Amino acid sequence: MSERKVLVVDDEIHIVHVVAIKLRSNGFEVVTASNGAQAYELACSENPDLIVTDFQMPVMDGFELVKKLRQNEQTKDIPVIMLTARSFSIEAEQKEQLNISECLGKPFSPRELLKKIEDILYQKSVTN
Amino acid sequence: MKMLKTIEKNLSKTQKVELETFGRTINKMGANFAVCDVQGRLLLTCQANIYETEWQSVINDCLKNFDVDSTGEDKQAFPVNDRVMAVFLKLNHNAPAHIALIDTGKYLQPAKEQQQEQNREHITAGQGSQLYEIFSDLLTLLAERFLSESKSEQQALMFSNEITQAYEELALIHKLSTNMRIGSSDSSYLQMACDCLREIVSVEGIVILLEKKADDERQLVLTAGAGLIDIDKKFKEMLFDKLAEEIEMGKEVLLDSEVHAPFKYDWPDYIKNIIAVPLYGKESLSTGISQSVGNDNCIIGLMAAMNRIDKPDFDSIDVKLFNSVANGCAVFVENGRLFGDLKELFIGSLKALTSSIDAKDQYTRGHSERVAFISQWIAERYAESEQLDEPVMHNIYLTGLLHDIGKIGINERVLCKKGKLTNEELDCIRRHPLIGANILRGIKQMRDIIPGVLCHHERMDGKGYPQGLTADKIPLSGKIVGLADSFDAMTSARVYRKALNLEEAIEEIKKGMGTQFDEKVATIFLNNDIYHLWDIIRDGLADAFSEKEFSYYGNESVGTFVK
Repeated sequence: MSERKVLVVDDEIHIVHVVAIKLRSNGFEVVTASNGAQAYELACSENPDLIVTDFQMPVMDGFELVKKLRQNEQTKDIPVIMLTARSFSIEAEQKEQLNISECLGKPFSPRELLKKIEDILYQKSVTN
Repeated sequence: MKMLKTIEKNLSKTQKVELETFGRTINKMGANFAVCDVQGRLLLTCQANIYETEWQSVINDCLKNFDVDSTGEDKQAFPVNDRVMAVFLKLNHNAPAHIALIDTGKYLQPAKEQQQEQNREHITAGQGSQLYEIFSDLLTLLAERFLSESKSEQQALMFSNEITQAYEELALIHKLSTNMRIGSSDSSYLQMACDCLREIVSVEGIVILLEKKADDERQLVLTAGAGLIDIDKKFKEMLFDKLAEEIEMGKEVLLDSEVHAPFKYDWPDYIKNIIAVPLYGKESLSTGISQSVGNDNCIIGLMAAMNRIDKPDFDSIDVKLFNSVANGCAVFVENGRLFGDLKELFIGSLKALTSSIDAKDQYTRGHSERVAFISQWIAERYAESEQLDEPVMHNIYLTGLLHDIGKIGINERVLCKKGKLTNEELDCIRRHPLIGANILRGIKQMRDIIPGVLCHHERMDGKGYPQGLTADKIPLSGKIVGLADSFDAMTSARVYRKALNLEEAIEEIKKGMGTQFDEKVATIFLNNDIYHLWDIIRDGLADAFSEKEFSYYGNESVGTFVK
């Protein structure tokens, strides 16, 4: 199996680090970005298998990013896990509409995130 | 440069660049460079294109003559044959070493031997030893760089693990504190704490013991646990006592293991290391309100874990984590206890109030509590087929308890009159649901039980009072409490008649189905082990009436009904 690549997007650098460490130590290739605009470019050039993105970010937030991804033929099917502040919950309707696989409130457990990623990628490999 | 995919994957970008640059430098000096692994696979070659090297046979020589297992941190270059030299290369802190090789294409001679052989005036001696030193230094430098890099990589990895671990703990503590708001039971909350904790700290078992006082005897109850550890009574007591001892001595935790010294205490054989932290709380309210104020903290339970799996013993980070989780659990348990005490006090006061009303008339003693019990009994069975939330069921119980509270405002002469009531007197009695509703209206928390109190004398056919509502307008609580009220009235003696027996009462209810009683509620009531209910009620009656003294009755009835 080829190496699985995950794009991690957050303006809080420590979150990016924590996620990247957890993923790398579990055999993932990790690409990182600190805002939506940068993430969108990377999503197009790097073709990640999955994207983990924060919701609130400068320049372009998580929502804008997912909207843009969904409009692009090349990136429209990439699964997305959205990280949100606990106090903020994404409405089920929006989640459905933008095809967001999972929402995780901060602070999240890296182990839980890893498990969700594995599950989603497994589902994806089964359906393909 | 040729590079196998397998090595490329194991190399970081900087390592790759470094090897490439190194290879090119060696090539410039007219020598060939290669890297192989300890299995003898050639992974990377850099050819200067001056001559060919038969790498595979060189590697075989190298592996035959040098012990590759003992090369942990050996960074000194060594000669393989008369023109090739090598060095062990640590690419990765946990992978076995690789070997970097240089074929100088010329005869090499180590400096020491050169001195001995100087007398023989070997023609290439000077040049050979010079080359030997240069290449040897280059290779040693390369090995040193990779070694220090793999060491810092190892350190970085260690820090990284600690960071993710810290993050894991943060998420756990956050989860525990958020869930505290939701009113889950002690055991499910504590179980969650155990399960979550066990996922980040790998141990064979985690338990939470709570101290319960029953008949003045201390009991340690295993409230939650995760993993596989056998805990018997003796072990429980020992844990608790030893922890108490340690805390008495000023420690905040009990730690014991056989790692650094023999065990301090005599644990069961299967224990290799153990940690126990206390759950602190104040004495519960039930021991007396005045007493509990200003009481010092006491140990109400403990959290313990045994046999760390991936480490030889519990460390200070574990202690901190266990303490914060235990503190969270203690607060939760303590809140639950206080809440339970308040609830008990609340229900107890209501019972005392209603039974004092019931006691005005000798024929209605214990009536309210029985109706409350029967109402809850019906509601529980109703919930088996219909959606009925826990708070709704509790409200039905309270409605049953308070349904006759309005009788407090009815003249005692009328209430206890032995002869036939006049129409006026009947009207007076029929005001009690409304009076009750008005009394309760003043209490915000009672808002939800008002409809039931108001409607417990309504009938499905609209011939009830006070409003004459029909079936679809009568709230469920009114229907249930109404039926329970009627059943208890039928089966109790009245001035003007004897008590009906169970069969007669069932007949009466069947007759009233659809007119007086809601069909569904009545069916559920009659179809669910009503004989069992009857037994319970009769037992309760026996108890409640065993006390002849009236003055006793008011107090005794509190809590005597259901055992």
